[in-house]
Amino acid sequence: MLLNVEKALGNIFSKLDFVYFPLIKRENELKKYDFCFIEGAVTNKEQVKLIKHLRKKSRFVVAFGTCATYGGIASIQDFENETLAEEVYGSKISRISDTVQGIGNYINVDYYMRGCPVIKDELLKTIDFFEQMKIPPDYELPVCVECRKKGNRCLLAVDHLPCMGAITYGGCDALCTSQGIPCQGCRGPLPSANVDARVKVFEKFGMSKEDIRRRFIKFAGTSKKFRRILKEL
Amino acid sequence: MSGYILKKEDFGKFIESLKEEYEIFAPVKKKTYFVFGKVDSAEEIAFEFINTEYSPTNLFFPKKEVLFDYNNTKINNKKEDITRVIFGIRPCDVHALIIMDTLFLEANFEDTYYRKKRENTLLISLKCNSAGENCFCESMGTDKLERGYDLMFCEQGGSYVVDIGSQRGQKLINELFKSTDEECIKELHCNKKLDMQKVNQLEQFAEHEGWKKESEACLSCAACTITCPTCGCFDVVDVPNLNMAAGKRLRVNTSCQLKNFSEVAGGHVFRETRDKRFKHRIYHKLVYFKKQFDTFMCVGCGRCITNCPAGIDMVSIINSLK
Repeated sequence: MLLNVEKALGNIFSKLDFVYFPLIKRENELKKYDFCFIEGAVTNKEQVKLIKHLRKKSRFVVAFGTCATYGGIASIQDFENETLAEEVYGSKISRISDTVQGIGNYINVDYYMRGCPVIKDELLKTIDFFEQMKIPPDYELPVCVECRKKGNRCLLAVDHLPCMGAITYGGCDALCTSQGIPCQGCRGPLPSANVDARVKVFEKFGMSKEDIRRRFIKFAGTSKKFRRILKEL
Repeated sequence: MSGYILKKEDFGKFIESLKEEYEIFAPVKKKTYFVFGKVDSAEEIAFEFINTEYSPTNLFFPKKEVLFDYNNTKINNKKEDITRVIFGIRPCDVHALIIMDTLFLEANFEDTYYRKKRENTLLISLKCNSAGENCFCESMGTDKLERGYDLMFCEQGGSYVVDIGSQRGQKLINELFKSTDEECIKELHCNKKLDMQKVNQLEQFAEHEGWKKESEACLSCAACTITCPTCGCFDVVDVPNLNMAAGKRLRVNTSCQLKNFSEVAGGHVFRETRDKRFKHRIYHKLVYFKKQFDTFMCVGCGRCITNCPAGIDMVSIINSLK
């Protein structure tokens, strides 16, 4: 994603010195970092060790993307039973991952850059803030606000589609909902989200408990807000 | 002022004559709903709408507006000299603009951005043929319009009865219009009725337990305030370029339904709980504003009810207060 900000790339490279970035560099050194962007979920003990090491060596740690924040799509496995895994992989193959968690479960995280994928503008803004040695404030707006500002019609209220917009972090500029696709909740639940009311609305529109459950485990099932409601469902 | 009449078949010509001088905004159909959009001909204009999904206040008070951009120490103000006509604005929405005028033109401070747009725009109102299921303008007294419009169209048989509301409106009248004694006799009846007695006693219900109960259904998505024609709360944000020397200053719409709306430095939030925020919107529209400016802030358009994904209905909540 970082390499995808074509226009600003030159600017970024002139400001930041990438010391460890195996994707773009041949020689990478593990030393001290000002900023450490960690991408992907934590699935085994070695990875826990690695991120703990990175935490010690870095001034700021950023969870980069939904997987690093909540575990992402891969974390669905935590909510499914063992028989399903056996059906897919067979019983003989040993799996290298056990639980799938966001990095915040193991280390202190300074900033969560949510989204699947991360939004370009947010990335640039974050780099801006870091340059001044500041941590950007949490963007606490639901997707609905941005969606409405674009002049869309509510997918939930009118079309009764299972849109997660109202309880999900905004910042994506209502990318999906503007195309008529209900929000999947990739940016995770807002701290002020009214999850119980959302479940009631889904039930009112005729969604089954199983469907609602799937909706919640898709991206951010490991978040506190969703974990609680998943126990009740 | 004496009335005029315009035949429906001449309407297209009237729009053509407006086009020479003005940009025309009118309700257009977007998929299954109606919004205000720029039109080039009369065919694009939709007439079958009850009201638009979003209010025309957006044309004066955009949800996101660049105030100026800056480069080092230079500030470039955006120049807007387009003159516009808004056709098909409903009486309730004209009332909403009158309320916005009270706030942004007549109160202590004047909003120059708003004033410019307001002065450059002519309003041609279109009377409603019927009320929508969530309209309660009759209760708010906003179904009738005495001022604020330049022209008022009223569909009657095969023609429009036109009432003139201002001198600027008078200038739009051309040879297509004929003098008439006919008057618009349209009376609107809303099924939804707000109990105004309850509204006047609202202050007594400030600590009512009903607010907490009703707010449990609220998703805090801010749909009610964003679609409201009289909601004008905004936040000012700077968006610098990556080199930090240049950038722009934006005014973005925000909402009292969001938790960070009332957050101050140090992290204190004045309206932390959902029921406080929920109640605040209703009280601002019907109590606080009335105290300050002697008029209700609500125009009864019903957009907050139509657009609420949780189905919260402020009218029935107030009516059922005991």
